[in-house]
Amino acid sequence: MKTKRTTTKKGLGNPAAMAAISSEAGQKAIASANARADAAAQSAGKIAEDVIPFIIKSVLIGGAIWYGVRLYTKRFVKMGTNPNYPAANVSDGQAAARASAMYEAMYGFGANAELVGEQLAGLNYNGWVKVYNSFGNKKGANILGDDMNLVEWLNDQFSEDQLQELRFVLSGVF
Amino acid sequence: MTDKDKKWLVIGGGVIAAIVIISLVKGKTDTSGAASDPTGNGSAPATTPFSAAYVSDTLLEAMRYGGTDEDAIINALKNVSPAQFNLVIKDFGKQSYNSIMGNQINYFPLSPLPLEPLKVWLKSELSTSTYNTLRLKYQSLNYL
Repeated sequence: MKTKRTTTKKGLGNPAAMAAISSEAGQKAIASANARADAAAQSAGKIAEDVIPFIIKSVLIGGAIWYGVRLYTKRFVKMGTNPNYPAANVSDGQAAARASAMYEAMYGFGANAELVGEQLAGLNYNGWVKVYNSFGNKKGANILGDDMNLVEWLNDQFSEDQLQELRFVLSGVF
Repeated sequence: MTDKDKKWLVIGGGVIAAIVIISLVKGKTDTSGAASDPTGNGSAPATTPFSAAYVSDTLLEAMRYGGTDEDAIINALKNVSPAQFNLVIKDFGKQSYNSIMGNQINYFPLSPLPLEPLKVWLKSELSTSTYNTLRLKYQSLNYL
């Protein structure tokens, strides 16, 4: 009957390998290998020291530039009044009130086209410009979305039929 | 950097700063576009060709038979300013109207149909929402 032999021996058991390692040449080879491994580790560490800060700096600077460009391109650009047309038929305060009423009518669930139409009704071109500029850029319902100006809000909130109705009320401006 | 370079740098910076400040402070103007206010709500007369008689006839044709062609009415009035609509109202005047049937057929020849102005025609023939839209567009006239 065979019995399983167990051993408590540890390390290399091959006498030839032991002899090779113990020899002078073997020791040199081991020392050389260790030296190469150290050098490689040092080199990797040096590269990591140089590259990681570079990557971090690049990401930070790139992010800052991207953010700056985004702020610039997404900024609100005021419309200019047109001196060829009659002066605005609403005051600054009235324009602000109309802009605010339209925002309230559009923000949140659903949008009240009739209320928006009431705010647009009767404006002349320069009055529209005042209301548009007073509205500025406002945050949309989607918190991840961009801020939108009045025309973008109207296009975002209303169907094509509703937009046609609004354009009927105030033609030629959006 | 020489003193001369510094001097030019200061001058250039000053000019750029001045341009930025002026552009921020000064209001924008836009001189493009047609000669008249595109909204039709300006005081200057519209320069686009316009015939009150043609619009008035189109409105009557859209309303005089059974059923109403609301799209035809909206299209006819799309580019009509309040001032121009006033001319249409005058041109339309009063037309005989069977307000029960919504047409111009007189079932009782012995008594003529009443003559009604455009306001009555529109209010009777259009849906409430379309009529309200018209009312908004021409609210400055206080007619509808």
